[in-house]
Amino acid sequence: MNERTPFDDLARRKLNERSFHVPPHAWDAVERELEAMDRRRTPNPWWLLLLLLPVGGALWHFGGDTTATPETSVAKNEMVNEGPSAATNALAVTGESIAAPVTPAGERSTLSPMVMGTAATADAPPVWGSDAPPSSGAMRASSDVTPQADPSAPERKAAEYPMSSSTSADPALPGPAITTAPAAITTHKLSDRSVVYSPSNTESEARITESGMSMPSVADVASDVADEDLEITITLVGTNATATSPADTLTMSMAGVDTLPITQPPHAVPAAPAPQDSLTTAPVDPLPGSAPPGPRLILTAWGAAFHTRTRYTGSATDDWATDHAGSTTFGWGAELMRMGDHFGVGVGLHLLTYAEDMHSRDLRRSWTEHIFTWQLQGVDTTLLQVTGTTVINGQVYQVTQSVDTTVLVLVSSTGTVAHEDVQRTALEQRNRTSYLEIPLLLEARTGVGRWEFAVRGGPTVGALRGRRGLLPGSTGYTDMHEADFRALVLGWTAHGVVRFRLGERWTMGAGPALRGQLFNTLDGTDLVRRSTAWGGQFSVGWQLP
Amino acid sequence: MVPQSLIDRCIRQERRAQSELYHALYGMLMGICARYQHDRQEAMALLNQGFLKILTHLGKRDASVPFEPWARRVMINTVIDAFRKDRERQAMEGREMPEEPANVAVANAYLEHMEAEDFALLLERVPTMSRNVFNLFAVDGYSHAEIAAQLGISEGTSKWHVAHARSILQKALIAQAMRHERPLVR
Repeated sequence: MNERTPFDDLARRKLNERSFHVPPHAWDAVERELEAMDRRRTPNPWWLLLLLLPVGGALWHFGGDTTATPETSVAKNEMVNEGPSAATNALAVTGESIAAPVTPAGERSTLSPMVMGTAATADAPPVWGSDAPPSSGAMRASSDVTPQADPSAPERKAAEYPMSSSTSADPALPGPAITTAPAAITTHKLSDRSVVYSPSNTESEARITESGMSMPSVADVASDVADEDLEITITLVGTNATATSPADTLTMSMAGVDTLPITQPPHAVPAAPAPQDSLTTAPVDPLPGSAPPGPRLILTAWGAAFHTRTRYTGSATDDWATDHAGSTTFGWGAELMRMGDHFGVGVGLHLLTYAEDMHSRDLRRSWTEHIFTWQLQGVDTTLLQVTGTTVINGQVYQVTQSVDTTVLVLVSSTGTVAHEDVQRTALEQRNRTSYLEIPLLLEARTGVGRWEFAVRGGPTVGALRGRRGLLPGSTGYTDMHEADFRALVLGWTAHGVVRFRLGERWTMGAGPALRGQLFNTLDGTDLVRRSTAWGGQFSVGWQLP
Repeated sequence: MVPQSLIDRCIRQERRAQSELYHALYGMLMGICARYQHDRQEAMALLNQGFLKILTHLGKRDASVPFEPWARRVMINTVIDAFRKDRERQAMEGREMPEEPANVAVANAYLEHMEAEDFALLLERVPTMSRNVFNLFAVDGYSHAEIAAQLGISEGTSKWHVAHARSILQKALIAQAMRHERPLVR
């Protein structure tokens, strides 16, 4: 009972002999279900948006530093001394970049003359600290050339003092050698104060990098430098006319963290007195209406009028007999950009319609039919009819008479019939397809005063939202709802814009706009359909707080 | 034999290829469904359900597995799933095994010359549970352990159903053979 028996084998063989034929319309139910599954599989554009947002966010996050302005970098380069004499020993080091070339031989314990500089210009020469004598327990900076240093301003925005600097450990060097080497200044903020230190290289390099992220303990710093009697020579060169004078050299002799004497080498020639204490210069107010520096989020809403055009190609257009003309549509959208001074990246949400005016001519099929006919045709004739015989002189003669009659003759004839079927009537129709597009945007811009000139664009992913119209074919028209459209289409968008800054946060702009679809919007047919659009765009931008 | 190119086109969701595959597999799949579900409409619904599963999982199929046996297995599993939902569980453990008729050779001989459709009609007389277990065991080649796992019954119950179905069929075949006075042995 537990094993298969010959009966089981016979039963299997017999049952497998059965044959089944596909009933008509059996496939229809499966096809309907497959279409329903396809619809369910179509990605929701809102989910797509949610997917794109993290991508955009990541781009902002990682791309933000590249758009940082020199001012923002410089603003953190501040060193303020601690302790009771902090007020008089404040040392502010500003600079976009600092290079650390090898210290010339012969200078005792000098780590490196550091080159400091900023790209910006300043009327005021760099000014250093105070001339107060160094005191134990405090980092101190002193310089004879800056007697105007305001001791009451321990924290000052170095961004206000753009400077150039160069390596000039050798005082004989004629003039500043401006460098834009990568920044190597570290500013560790502690509470509201900053400490600059250079523990990295005891021989030839002093690296100061900017981070502001974390503060190494004083002990760490001390351990870096305590064992060596280090001396850091910082040479500062102004960028204006005073910069041509011999540089101010600041030497920080780091016998330990507690004491950081800063001296001016004997060869240093004092720079011209600054017209004011550059350390205490008040922040320069930006131009009214000018963009504030640094990365910022800008929300833009736009509306546009487009002239859209759709191209149809592919073998299905062989019997097209249709002209398409462009049509005017409108679109609108919102974009969120993270902007630096000149470049930005962002995402958006665009809603627009592509339309075309379709003029289809009628399609007719003509053919000629040859018809052969056979018919009986009456022919009038006279027949000689024998009516009898007679004997004349022994000779037999037949008696005849003429009989008029009609004879039917079978004749054939060939006829030609011309047929013409109207396979498709002429039609004028406007087709529309609407897409919800999610663009990944890049912007490059420049500005003058309140005016900005920008180009913004990037790839888009368009989700089909609606379609209306008819697609012509060789035998009629197909409703666009029944045509297989791709749910998602890749495209591109670009527009130039001239913006006017209305205030600190608001801008309005206008400019030309272009957009298009990169791939076929139809699926599974020999018809290729792509739309493009050009037009004018008006936008309003608002900078997020 | 379904060509690989057709399968590939189905994986690419080409509707025409899917239709071709449906027509190619219809006979085999309906053969399975009709054995388990004698109502033709229900069998058709089962077939469509199984075919959709085949299409859905086509891309995940191990290429080393031949297509037809794989599709057959998917269809049988679909049938079993449907059967699980509305079956009437009856514990058959402890019941005595049905006795095999004495003249099995008569039944076998008659079956061999019988029309396939007639035997299918005969199979429909077997109670649903026994018929399905018999189908799984005798026709589709499942073991009792597999059947027990699939249907949530014990192996003993599976064996009982097979014996029960076999007994009913053999008795019916012998009865028909006697009635038609067909030659009983070759």
